[in-house]
Amino acid sequence: MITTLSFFVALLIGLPIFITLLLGTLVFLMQADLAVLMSDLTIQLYGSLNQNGLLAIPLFMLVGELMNKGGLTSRLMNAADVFVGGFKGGLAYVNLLTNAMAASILGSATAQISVMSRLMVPTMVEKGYKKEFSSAVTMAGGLLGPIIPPSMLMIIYGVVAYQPISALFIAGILPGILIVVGFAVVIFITGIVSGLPSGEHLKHRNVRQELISGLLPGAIPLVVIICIIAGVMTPTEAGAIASIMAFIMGFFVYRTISIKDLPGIFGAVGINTATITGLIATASVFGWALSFEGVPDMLVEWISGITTSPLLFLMLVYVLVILLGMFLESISVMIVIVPIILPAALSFGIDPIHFGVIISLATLVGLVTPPVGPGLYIAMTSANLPMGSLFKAMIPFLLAMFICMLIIAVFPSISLWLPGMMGK
Amino acid sequence: MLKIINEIDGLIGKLEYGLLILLVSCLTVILSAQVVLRSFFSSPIFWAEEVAVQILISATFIGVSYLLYSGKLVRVDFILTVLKAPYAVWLDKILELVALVVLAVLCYYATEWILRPEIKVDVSPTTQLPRWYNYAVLVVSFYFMSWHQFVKVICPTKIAQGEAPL
Repeated sequence: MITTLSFFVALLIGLPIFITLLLGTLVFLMQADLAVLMSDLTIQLYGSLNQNGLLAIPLFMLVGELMNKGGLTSRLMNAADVFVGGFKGGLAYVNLLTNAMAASILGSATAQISVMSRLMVPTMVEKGYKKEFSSAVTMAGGLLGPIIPPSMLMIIYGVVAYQPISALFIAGILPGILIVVGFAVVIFITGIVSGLPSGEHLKHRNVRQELISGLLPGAIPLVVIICIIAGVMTPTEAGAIASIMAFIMGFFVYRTISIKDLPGIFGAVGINTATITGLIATASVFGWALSFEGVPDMLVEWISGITTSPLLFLMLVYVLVILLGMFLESISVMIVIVPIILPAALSFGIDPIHFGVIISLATLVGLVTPPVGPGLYIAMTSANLPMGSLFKAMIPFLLAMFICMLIIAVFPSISLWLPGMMGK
Repeated sequence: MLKIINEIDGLIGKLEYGLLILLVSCLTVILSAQVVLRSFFSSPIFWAEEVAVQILISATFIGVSYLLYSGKLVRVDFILTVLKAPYAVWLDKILELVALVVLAVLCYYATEWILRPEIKVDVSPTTQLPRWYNYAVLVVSFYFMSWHQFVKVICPTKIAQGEAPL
């Protein structure tokens, strides 16, 4: 109990999470009179990262960095415009579709919101859309990043929960499409209720050229998904192939990346990777301390006392993770919460792959909700908007997200049907 | 004296950033070469994944140390931002001290562990190279982290320094 208490107090008062997790473990070892195990902490930290699955993290991050640097989003925007730019509120759909396509390449919601806010919001405002609505569509689109494969959240869940990453990638496809449809419905209703500017295609020099230029990067996630589904490659190998493709596109095809950009790109990948893998290492050691203390068993017992319904349990998980996500970055929530809560989910008979989708969706909401939501802050800064008005414009999209989350929780086959079909 | 301490801190930060770039580029090259050789020439590099994992582990702890140096370790700063100025500073200073104590304890036990005879003779099953070198990266990183934290504690005006490009 002292371990859990010290962990939550240190976490809430602002000790860095990496240190908080170490502190929690040290407190446990001391109060359980297991100080003799202290010198084994280093090998425990080492061992928690000694997994091949983790190698996919820097590789997919590299793909995102290379494509981002290569001006991917403006190409995708032009390609999306060819398809949906002519509808009423066309640019809002273009924004959403560009986000859905970029999601499968960038895989990071915050990076996506940051890039798309700079690209789409000024264009939409210029065409007569409200700034709040434009930013809200951009933020909503950003939420697709971590669910549409290849998704970083899924890789991390796979490593932390010891689940096959390929099955998790495939499980994210239908929920991702459902959310895109949900957001499109919100745009459609907004168009009817408050009126959106008529559709007008952006000026294209050559539609065919725009399509080829925009859809070429789409080959990357396609190759990744096909190779993984076909069982030809592991996620790590697919990540390596994707980085080679991204490098060739940026370096030789688009010529937007030069040799002197590479140190910065590798540096950014190193820093972002260390943030995640550092937390995975310490969370794994802390999870070991918590299991020693019997916290997961206590949690199962406590939740079983409240409900025996798996659906109600999933609702409780949604609430807990969304609340945590309001104060903590999504990946950290995932790393901290999964080892504690997964045993409870399994005891309720919930499929661990479905649970991965559920927990990924829940962590996403925190990205765009006050007080900490980083996506909200990025959009606020980019569009120079106050938090209140931006969050108000985001509410319809959040409602659509909640409805989709409810549907996915009620019908697990939305997550599990495709992996089942593929034999994963 | 403080100036020299800060300069040493900056040098270590730059060294960490440089190592991070080197490690990530090596990891990418090894894994890309492995996939190409395996898929197109049916000639996989037998040591690729093990070495890549060792590189990732080294990059993780060197990266965390760099994150500590640049003040970018993830934390819930809600209370710190809500608190008024003098209380926020005090709380931050207390947290820095707690972090220093945790890291110092970690350094002590990590040093004790790495000096054990059985750790010195541990070899990798694939490459037959001693694992001591890879383990040592963790211990050295813990010392770097402690140093960065020590500098944060003794330098009251020290703020997040951002990236330290080479």
